[in-house]
Amino acid sequence: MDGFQIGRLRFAAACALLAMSLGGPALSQTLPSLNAAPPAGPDRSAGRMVFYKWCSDCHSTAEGPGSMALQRKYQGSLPAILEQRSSLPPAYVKVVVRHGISFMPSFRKTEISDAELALVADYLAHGQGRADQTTKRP
Amino acid sequence: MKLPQNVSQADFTAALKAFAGIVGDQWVFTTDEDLELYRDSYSLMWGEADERTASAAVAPDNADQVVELVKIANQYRIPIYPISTGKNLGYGGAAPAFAGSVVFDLKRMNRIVEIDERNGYVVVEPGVSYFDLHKYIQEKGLKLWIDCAGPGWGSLLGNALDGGLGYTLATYRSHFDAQCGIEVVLPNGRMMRTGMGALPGAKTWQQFKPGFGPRIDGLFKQSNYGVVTKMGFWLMPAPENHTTGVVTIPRFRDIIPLVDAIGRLEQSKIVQGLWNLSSPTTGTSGDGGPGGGASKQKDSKILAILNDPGGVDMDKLDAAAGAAGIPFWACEFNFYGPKKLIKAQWDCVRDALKEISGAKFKLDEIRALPLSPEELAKMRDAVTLGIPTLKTFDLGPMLSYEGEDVVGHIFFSPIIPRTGEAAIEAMDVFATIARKYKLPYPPVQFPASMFERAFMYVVALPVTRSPTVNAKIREMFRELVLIAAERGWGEYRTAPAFYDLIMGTYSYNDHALLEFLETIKDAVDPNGIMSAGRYAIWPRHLRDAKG
Repeated sequence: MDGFQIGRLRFAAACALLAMSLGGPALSQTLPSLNAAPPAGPDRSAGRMVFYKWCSDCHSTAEGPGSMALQRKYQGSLPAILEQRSSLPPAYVKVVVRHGISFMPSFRKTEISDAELALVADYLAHGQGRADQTTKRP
Repeated sequence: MKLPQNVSQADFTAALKAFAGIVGDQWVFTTDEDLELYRDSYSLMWGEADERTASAAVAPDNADQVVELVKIANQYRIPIYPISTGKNLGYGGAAPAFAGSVVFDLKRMNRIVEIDERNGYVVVEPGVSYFDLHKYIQEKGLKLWIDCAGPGWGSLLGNALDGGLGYTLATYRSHFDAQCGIEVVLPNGRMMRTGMGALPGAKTWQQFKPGFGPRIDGLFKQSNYGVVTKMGFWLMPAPENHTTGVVTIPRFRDIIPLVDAIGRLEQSKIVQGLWNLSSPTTGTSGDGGPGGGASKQKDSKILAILNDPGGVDMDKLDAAAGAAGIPFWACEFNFYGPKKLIKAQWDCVRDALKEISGAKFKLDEIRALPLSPEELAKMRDAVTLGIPTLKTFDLGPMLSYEGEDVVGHIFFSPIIPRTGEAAIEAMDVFATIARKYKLPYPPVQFPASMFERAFMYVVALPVTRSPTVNAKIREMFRELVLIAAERGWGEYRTAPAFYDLIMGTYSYNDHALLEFLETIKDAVDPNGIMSAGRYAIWPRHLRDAKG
């Protein structure tokens, strides 16, 4: 299905823990289809899951509206696909998610909690700058 | 702390404490930082004194909590404003219609209560998005499709209540028409179920829309008579195949017999998938999803006509296209189902349209569903296949207006008759206004056919963070509304900034409709706490205050 290397049980457990600790959604979370191996190092699968759910539709492919906006903004000087950036300051990610930017609206705490936002900010802060790094819906 | 109008600090404090007692402290939001998140990102009144901002937000987890919260709001006369996923951007987002309201943020209520493959329905809470339901159906392997709005993060329930639309078969595209059964907490805190749901233990709540007695579901569309906590929807069986068929028609005025013929096919339930008009003169040819964007035409003579600052002269364009051998119209039909049905439907389309001289027909490959990821990736958007996306935010040319960055959009979307004559008239009327205001507007824009018996004409208007520019956009919108109303065209849906303006155009017999809606409002919500001002329905005390 994909190159996601983290075992299903471990991932599901992480999600369950996340859901419990965040007063998470009533819908069950299950393993998404992830398209490339995550960066090496500490386990950031929970942050990646948040990215998948909330960010990937706009930011995981060159044709995504978010990627298109970033391509216009940076003109190729930085990757337009967020996960292909080598680093993104967590504080900046948090500000953009809570305040919106350009066409991107703000996201409420009932959508992305502070704890989830910290996870996704940490995930994006530790990108490896890999050209093949994307997380998108199947 | 911002106070709701006519509420004392002591009462507001007591109400917030009582709200927290129901939902927990962490789900009552009162800080400025938190309330920023309940501003409408696409507000045309951003930063102005009249911007409609919340005084607080409360996020219940279930319908029982909603009942208790509404009772508290009634006790203290707190204006409340329920939202579902809060993502109906361009139509208010998560902000209230009446400044100072407490937003009831229902996003946490995101349960898929029941789904029935055999009878083809689902019951959802307000926080369930198209993404959520699609994912659930995929994971369970159910042979069902959803009909999603453009942005997949929208709420099924909220979109339907707002009168939203989708892209698959006609029966499912008008989302309120596809609903069957509502659970609603009335302004006095009493829970009610509509249709067969009023029968305790009902076995057919999602199978029989009329119920017994008056059918009142429609009272909860674009209104403020309660907090809808559950809603049933009819779902479409996952079709076996999909394809598109394209008919090209040579001349501009061929749109008249074209629309008539398609109308008969739709009224006979032969054409049921969405069909889209485009014009090869502009160099575009879509894949059935929503289109837009700049002209891709390469022919310099045609391009000069399209880019004429005085507007596109359709006669000249018609002649130039004819000389270049380019058909004026392309009409793309979506077909779903067994191959033999698709072929039969296509044969009927051919039979109906071959009377138009020069009509040409091309049926694309009938592809088994689901499509592979590679096939899906080639589509501009997958919403015609019931797959939610956010591609609708790829709006193309609207990046700046009057020197200001564009941060959002609102839609002017009048309903016009389903005739070629009306389409031609609307194209001319709205292109003239777009030109007058230098709007980023395609050179030739066509009406949309989502509704079964009427066209919808959509003009996207930019939203900026400049109060000066936004004020101009509001005036432009006002002009569009009034010009449309003069022709008998009314909007089907709008942003809160224009509720009163547009309701004012539905003025038959001295505003008899609004007066009736206000009579209901006063009866079911005597304290006027529920979503004051939503779709221009104001409670008595605020009507009196407005004079």
